[in-house]
Amino acid sequence: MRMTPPDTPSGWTQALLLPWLDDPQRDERQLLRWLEGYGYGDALVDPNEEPYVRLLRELPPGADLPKYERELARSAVGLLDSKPDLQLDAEDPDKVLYNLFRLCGHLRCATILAEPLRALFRRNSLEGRRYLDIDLRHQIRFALIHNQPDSSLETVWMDMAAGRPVRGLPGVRLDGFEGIKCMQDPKGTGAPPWKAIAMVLTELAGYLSKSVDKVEQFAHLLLEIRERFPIHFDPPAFIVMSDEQHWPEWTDLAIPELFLQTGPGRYIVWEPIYEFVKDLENVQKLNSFCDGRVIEVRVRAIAKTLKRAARVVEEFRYRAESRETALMTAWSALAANQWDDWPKGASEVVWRLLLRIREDLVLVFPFELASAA
Amino acid sequence: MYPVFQRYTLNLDAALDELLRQPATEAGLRNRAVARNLMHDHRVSPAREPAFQECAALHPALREALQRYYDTRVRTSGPDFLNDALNLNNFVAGARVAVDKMDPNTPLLRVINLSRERAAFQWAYYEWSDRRKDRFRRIVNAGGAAELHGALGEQLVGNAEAFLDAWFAASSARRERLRVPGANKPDGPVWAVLAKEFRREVNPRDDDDAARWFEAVGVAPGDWPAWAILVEYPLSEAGTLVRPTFPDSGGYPLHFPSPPSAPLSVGGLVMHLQTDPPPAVLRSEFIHETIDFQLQHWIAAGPHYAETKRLVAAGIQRQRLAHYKLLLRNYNGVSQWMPQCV
Repeated sequence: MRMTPPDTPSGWTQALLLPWLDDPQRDERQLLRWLEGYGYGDALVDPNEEPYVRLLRELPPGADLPKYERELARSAVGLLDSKPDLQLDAEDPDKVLYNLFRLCGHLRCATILAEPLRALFRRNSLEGRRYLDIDLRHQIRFALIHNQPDSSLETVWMDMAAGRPVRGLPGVRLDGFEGIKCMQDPKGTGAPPWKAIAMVLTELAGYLSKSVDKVEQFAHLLLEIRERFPIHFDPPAFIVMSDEQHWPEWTDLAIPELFLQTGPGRYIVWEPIYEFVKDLENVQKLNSFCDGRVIEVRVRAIAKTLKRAARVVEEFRYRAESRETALMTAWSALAANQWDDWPKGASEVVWRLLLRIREDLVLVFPFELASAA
Repeated sequence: MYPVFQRYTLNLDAALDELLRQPATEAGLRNRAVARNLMHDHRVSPAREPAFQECAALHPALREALQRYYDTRVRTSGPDFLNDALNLNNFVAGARVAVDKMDPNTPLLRVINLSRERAAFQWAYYEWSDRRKDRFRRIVNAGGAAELHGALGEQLVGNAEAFLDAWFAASSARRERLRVPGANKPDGPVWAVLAKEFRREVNPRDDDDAARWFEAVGVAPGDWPAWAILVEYPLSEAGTLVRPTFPDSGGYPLHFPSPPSAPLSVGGLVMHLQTDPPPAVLRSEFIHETIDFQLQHWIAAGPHYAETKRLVAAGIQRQRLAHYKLLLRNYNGVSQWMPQCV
C-alpha cells in the first residue's frame, strides 16, 4: 500500500498522478488534459510552468521510479499512436505536442517509446508547427535522441553531424553528435557504439578545425562521451581512437590524458616528453600512436624524472590553446624548478627544448613577439 | 452570495464554496486563499470581468479558470494588464500615465529564477542564430532537474558574465521574435520590487542563499535547488508600471491583494514568505511587460547569482496572517474589506 503523499506541492501532484498510474483501467485522456495544463486541482502551483516539468518532477525518486516511468510512457504511447500530429482534440494542440515530446525525451523508456516516436517522425507532419516560437521538429528530435534502444538512426545523426540536411528533422552538427552519443546497444549491455562515436568525433574534429576555441570544444565532447559511458572510456581509449581515425594534431590538446603507465617501466607519453627523456637515457621506443605524436617508451633509471616532467607537461598541455603555448609554459615551469634529485643534464635538456620552442614561436608569431618585446 | 472582485456582479458561489470548504491542510488553505483573493481583489476593473467570466464558463473549477485567463489574456501579446481600456485604474507610472508621479530613475529589482527558464533556453539553443547558442546545449539536453541545475551551475560558476551576456542577448532576440503577430505566448508579466526596499531586507552580498531572495519577493520556486540572479534597472526602462491583480498572477496562491485604502502609487504589496521572525514592513510590488534585460542590469544589481540552499518557507496560514496583521496596522478599513484572510 502506498503512503499518503505529504501536504506539499509535490505531494499534491503525486496524490493526483500516482493513483492514476497505478490504475490499469486508467482513462488515458487524462494525460492529454494534463499536457494541456489543466486537471491539476490543488497541484496547480506555478502558472508559468510547462506541464511536462510538473509531471516529471513529481515522479517518486525511489525504487518505484522505473515502474512509474514505464506506466507514464505507456500512456504517452497511447497518445502518440492516436497520431496527435495529424489531429488532436485540444485547445492548443501545439502545446500538447511540445509537452508530449519533452515528456518522452525525459522518460527513460526507450524500448517503449522509440517506435511510436519514429512513426511520428516518418510521417513528417510537423513542418510549420511551433510552440513558444520553437519549431516542434526540434522537440521531436529531442525525444528521438533520448529514446534509442538501438543504433537504427545512426545514418540520420551522422548526416546531421556532417551538416547534411535530414528530411523532417532540422538540426546542427552537435545535435548529430548528441544523437550518436545517446544510441544504445540493443542487447542492453551498456556498451558504447564505438565505431559511430569515433566517426562522429572525427567528423566534428574536421569541422571544428577552423574554430578559435576548437580545443576547448573538442575537450568538452570527449568528456561528454566519457560521462555517458562510464568505465568504457578509460585513459587509452581516446588515444586509440585518435590513432585509428588520424585525428588532427591539435586534438592532442583535448585528450584528457596523454601520460599513463602501461607496465613496469613502460609509459605512454606525449611526443615532447619523449624528446626530453631520450637525451637523458637510452630510452626504448616500444610503440608509436597518432602519427608519431604519442609514444610508448620503456625507461630504466629515469622513471621518476619522466613521471615528474610528464605530470608538469600534462598540466599545461590539456586544453591549451596551441601546442606551442603548452610547451612554452610547460618547459618554462620545469626550467624554473630546481629539484635536488633532478638528474644531471636534465636542466640543460629542458632549456634546450625551451629555446627551441621559442624559436618555433618566433617563426609562427613573429609580429606578436616583436611587439611584446 | 459571495462577492467576486469585491462586487456582486458575477455569481461564482458554487465554485467559491468548493474552495472555501476545503480542509485546513496546506493544500486546502491555499485553495481558500485563492477564493479569498478572488472575492476581494477590488483592483480588477468591471471591464475585465467578461473575459474572466468566459474562462469560468469554460472551466468551472476556478483555479483552472484563472489558469486559462492567464494563458489567454495575460501571457499573450496585448495583455489585459496593459490595456488602458481595461486596466487604467492600475497604471502606476510610465508612458501611458498622464503625469509621472514616480521618479523615472527609481531603481526596480527583479529576481530571475534561471532554473524555470527551460523554454527560453530551448528557444535560444534551437532558434537563435548567434554562435553563442552553443553555451545552452547542455542546459537544453539536461535529463532531469539535477542535471539542469548542474549544467546551469557549470555556466554560472565558470564564467557568469559571458554566460549571462549570451543569455540576455538571446532573450532579447526571443522577445523580438515573439512580438511578431501570430506568435504564440510570450512570457508573462515581469514582477518587480523597489530595489531599495529589497535591500533593506536582504543583503545579497552576505546572504547568498537565493531562498531568502525568493521569500522576500513572495515566490516559492517549483524546482529545488534553483539558480537565481538579480537584475536592477530604472523605472523608465520598464515601460508602463502596473499594480498587479490576482488574475495577473495566474491565480498564484501566494499572492495577496492590496487593500482599497492603499494608494495606487504603492502598487501591490508583497506577501513575505518568511514568518520567523514575522515581516515588520510592507513592500511594494509591480508588474510590467518583459523588457530587454542586459548585462549592465545584472551588474547594477551586484552582480549576484546564487542557488537556493534550502526550501523556501511554507505555511500559507501563518504567512497570510502575518501579512494581514501588517495590513491592519498600516491601512484603514482592512477588516471591512476582507473580514477573513484564510
